[in-house]
Amino acid sequence: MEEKVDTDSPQAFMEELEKLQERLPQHIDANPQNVEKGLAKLVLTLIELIRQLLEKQAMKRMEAGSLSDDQIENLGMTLMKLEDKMKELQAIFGLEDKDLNINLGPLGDLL
Amino acid sequence: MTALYATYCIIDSDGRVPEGITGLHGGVVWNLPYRGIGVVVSLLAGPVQDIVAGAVQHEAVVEQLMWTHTVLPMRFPTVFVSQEAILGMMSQRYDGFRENLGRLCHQVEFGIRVLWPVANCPAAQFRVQVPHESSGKQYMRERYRQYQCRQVLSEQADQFGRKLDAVLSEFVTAKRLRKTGAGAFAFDGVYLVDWDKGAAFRRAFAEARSCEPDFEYLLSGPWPPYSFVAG
Amino acid sequence: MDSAVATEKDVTLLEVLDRVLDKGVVVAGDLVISVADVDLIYVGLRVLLSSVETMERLRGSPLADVWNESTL
Repeated sequence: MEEKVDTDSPQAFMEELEKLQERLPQHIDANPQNVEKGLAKLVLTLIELIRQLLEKQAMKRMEAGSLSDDQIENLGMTLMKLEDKMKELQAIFGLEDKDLNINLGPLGDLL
Repeated sequence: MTALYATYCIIDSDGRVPEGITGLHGGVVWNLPYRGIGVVVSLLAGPVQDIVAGAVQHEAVVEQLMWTHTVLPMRFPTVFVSQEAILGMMSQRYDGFRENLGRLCHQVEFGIRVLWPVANCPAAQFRVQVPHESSGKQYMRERYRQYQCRQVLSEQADQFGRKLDAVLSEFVTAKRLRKTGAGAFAFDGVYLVDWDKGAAFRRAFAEARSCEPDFEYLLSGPWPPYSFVAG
Repeated sequence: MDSAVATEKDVTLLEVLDRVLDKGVVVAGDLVISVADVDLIYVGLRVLLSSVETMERLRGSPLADVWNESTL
């Protein structure tokens, strides 16, 4: 195939493009265990979405300076614990960060 | 075993395609005509074991045709068990194919991807360690620093996107920008360009890129118009 | 991943795959695996291509009517 790509950073783009490929389904497996995994994936993706939305709200309030010291401390602890819990659940179901996403077709990915 | 037919693309002709084009498993490729247009197919001797090799062979067939015909590239793999089934599909999709062939006449696709210059974020300089800070506050401070960083880069990327648009628009028939969000791509777009304007498009991009040397760039193409087939 | 540094040729392959596997005209082949998600139908075709045994097995299944119609 003739030269079709022009870039100074093939290595960097290679890594990102490989991540895009990982999203494509590799095979169908009707194994009941994997049906469970599919549910876990859905639930955890939604929890991650909510966590991100919460964090975004917290950041906007930091920006606006509308949080008291105590509120910053409490929000920080809560978000931190939520992050730890997510990692725990991901480990239990064998789901990595790249697995946590839902493709909405023409709308792109949820996360 | 039933024969299988691999399909490569829809073309704007019901005539023969050039001799000697081979596709998957070395099968000879031919044009199956239908009401003035055609679908390019080949007989598949057996199952496709290697998806990557097959994808490359599929693309090679489409690219051999793209300069002499208007092509609607098909997703790989798209396989049928009979010619009747293929023609049934053509009947169903005829109007849409006609519309696409008209719209994509003489057009090719280019892709532009840009990576964040992560190391250059100014907010990275503001990593502060506050002694005796409680863990909740520490967590928030670090998240906030990353947030500010992303805001700065996001604004830079938007500005860059607008500049690119301005510079490229006279050569572009259509474009699709992929939502980039917090991912590694600061910009990810595909452009539909008339093949006569391909060289001018490339020159314009090279110029825009030299004005923003901090970002990392990738220009790809010309491709068959995969991203612009509608419906 | 390869420890060797990536080249433009490697990136070209990924750009090809990104288009050929994920974009372009989508038509349902003969064998319609009835799940709502288009991606799964597409993946179903990929499964079909990689396993002749799957084809033979499906001849005896409820999908056989679809199969028999399309092989006339």
